[in-house]
Amino acid sequence: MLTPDPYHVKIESRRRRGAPALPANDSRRFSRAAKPRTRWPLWRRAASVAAVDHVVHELVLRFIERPESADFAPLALAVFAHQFECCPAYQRFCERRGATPRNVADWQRIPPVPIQAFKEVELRCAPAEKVFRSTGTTAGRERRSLHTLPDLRLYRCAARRGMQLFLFPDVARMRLASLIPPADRQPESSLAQMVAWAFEDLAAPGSVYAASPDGADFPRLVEALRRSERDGEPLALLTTTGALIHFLDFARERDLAFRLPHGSRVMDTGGAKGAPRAMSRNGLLHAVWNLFAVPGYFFVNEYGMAELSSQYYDSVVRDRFDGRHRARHKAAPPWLRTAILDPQTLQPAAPGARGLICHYDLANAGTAFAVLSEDVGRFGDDGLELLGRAAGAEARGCSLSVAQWHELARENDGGVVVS
Amino acid sequence: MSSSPESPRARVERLLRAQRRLATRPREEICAALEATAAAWLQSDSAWRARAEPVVAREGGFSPAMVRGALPAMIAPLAGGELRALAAEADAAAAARPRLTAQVLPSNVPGLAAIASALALLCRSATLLKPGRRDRGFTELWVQSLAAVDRELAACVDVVYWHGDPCGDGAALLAAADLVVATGSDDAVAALRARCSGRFAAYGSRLSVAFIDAASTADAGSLRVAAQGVARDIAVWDQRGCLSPRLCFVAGDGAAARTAAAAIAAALRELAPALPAGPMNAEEALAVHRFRDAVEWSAADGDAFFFADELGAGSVAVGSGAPLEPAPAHRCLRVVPVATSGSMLDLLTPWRDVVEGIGVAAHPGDEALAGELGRFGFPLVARAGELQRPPLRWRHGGRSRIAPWTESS
Repeated sequence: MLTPDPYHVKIESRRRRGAPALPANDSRRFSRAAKPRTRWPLWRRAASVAAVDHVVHELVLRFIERPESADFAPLALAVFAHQFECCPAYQRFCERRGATPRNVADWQRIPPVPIQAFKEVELRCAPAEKVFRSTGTTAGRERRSLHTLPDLRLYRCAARRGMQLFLFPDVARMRLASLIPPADRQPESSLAQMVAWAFEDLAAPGSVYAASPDGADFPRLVEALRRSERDGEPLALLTTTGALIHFLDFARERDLAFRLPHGSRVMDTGGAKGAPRAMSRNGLLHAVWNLFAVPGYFFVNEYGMAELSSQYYDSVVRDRFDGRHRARHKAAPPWLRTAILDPQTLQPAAPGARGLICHYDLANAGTAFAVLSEDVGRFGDDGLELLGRAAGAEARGCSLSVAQWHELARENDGGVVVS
Repeated sequence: MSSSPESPRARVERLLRAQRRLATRPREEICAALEATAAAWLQSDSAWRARAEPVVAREGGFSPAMVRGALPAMIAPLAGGELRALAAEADAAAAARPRLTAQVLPSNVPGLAAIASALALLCRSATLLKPGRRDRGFTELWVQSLAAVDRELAACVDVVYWHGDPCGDGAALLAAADLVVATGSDDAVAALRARCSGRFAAYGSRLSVAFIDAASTADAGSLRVAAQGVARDIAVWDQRGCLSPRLCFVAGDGAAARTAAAAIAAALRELAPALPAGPMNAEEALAVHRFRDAVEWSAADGDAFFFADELGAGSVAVGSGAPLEPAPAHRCLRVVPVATSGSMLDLLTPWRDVVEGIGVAAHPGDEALAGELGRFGFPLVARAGELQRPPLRWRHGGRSRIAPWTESS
């Protein structure tokens, strides 16, 4: 016997009466859904899959806005049930592992989707509202991940709240300068979309995109930096790490230096992709201080993936805002949890051990909640440490790699004789 | 960098002095010494093997049982009658023989120093062996065992090691060699070639394949034998070598391929207790996960996959063969149905120069198949299950084993 749920009863009764559904933003619709009950999993109380779809998204949105309003675990199980029901490819994947909403009672037992899956199939629980692709710098366009989001509100809400928590906990708005192009120029880039929302929701007057059709527009960035120096308005520079290193070189060649107002900050992301040379994090901290007069506690590295809707940030700004003294580490918002898995068994790694990072992202409610990355990390004393991308090395020596095999095929297609 | 503080010049002079004596020794003496050394390793209670096995397992990342089971095959070719035939071939060659050979060996498979040193000695060349990072222990022990049998012959062999690109003493020793024989990845071999101005012989990146003919899938008994052979070729050295099959072609339709794939997966599981997989690092495990994930998520109608619970115990997938892609190592295999052996060779044509061997499960008297495979130019054609035990005179890289010493370029 299932426990009747008032708001599902209401939905059902309106449907029986033939009354139109309540509008999505009607407060009556979800007024009783503030905290999911834990007595029964949400999916077992659902009147229909469609109702769960919408309810789950609304519950996640509410949780992202007010994490204290609910518990992560039952919401995670509800999201799993929703994805199991609505995404046949994921359902098959779970069933092959003997995992169903009926026997998974712990969100950490939810089968994680490897990022390889995003390269092979469209993982979504409903028609896509927006499609993002990974940059796929090494394996070519055909091997890029596809993240098809049925409900863009989840991504937008998670991106905004993440930035508010970890980049701008001390201010409602700040002047922004972005070396990341506008979203209309990179419509498939989830990062460009995130920055576009930052410009809409968090930007103060005077914010600029310093990106031209050909790439970064450094003279425009210099102009924005000088303006902040002059008027004392703090500025947040949003950039890829690669573009930042390019700008460091640009500034050094021209003997430029800036003294940005206190509170200015830099957010970089994307690793070494597109960088003219490798730089260590310590080297970047030093260079950012020398060039912008932005101290390390205002220099935040963001870690995200095209396959996720939520992001990790260096904890430094948040820790300073909270008055905590901790080593720099990657912090996740409350709706994003992390596990480190043993690469061989895919079971939780021993405490402190290196392993593959597995993300549990509620904001991915419309696609895949549990995502197994190819990034290596470990939990240190202060939190998550990123240790880089696992290469996925095959045997080498005299053994031919799969990449070499394809290279030979391409050479032959191009008429090059292999000898 | 080097295993002793001796200067490169002194080392080279010592080796060249030893080589002068080697040049005058009777062929029979050299062969006998090499055979006696091999016999010392192959006897059931060999002290050398007892010392080497834990070292090879630890350095190479193999299970001890794997080393016990597979290491003898790396030495056994020296105990057969082929040694003398190869020595005669070497003595008959007219080209100027190099007095000092530097041999750079890979580390994906252990025990390579045994045959490498023998080839140089048969050609009466002193040799510097640079083992792979994960095969240093065996190399040192092999030279010690040779010294225990014939100190004069062992004086012609020295072991040198450097990590990464050769520099300092390593570069000086390479420069002093009359011939450099490099085996390894194409990148590593190309980097070495750029540093060497003299004679240079290269064995770059290769892989192997398997073929199961229609008769072998016709009944359960034949299929079981074929699958066991393919599984053994895969499992030995955890599929890390260039003689490890990573594609298996099955003559017949998709159903035949699926049946064969299931049988190979079962044979791999059966073989796991005798030849257990070694530990994998994060990168290696990820390569297998990627293979499994890509197969599982892209599976279309007619595709099938058989994954063992344990990551290293076997991952076999059946695909259409378009695009043709080999599996990574660590006991992964892609099974491809083909109409005939000719269709397989058509598919493999773009990669003709990188396929080193083929393990064949077919009727022994199939002359037409033997002819086809021969014309295609596989350097090694072996019965399934025998691919990892090549004879001494196997045409490695498509030419005689002693070609680097006996041919002028």
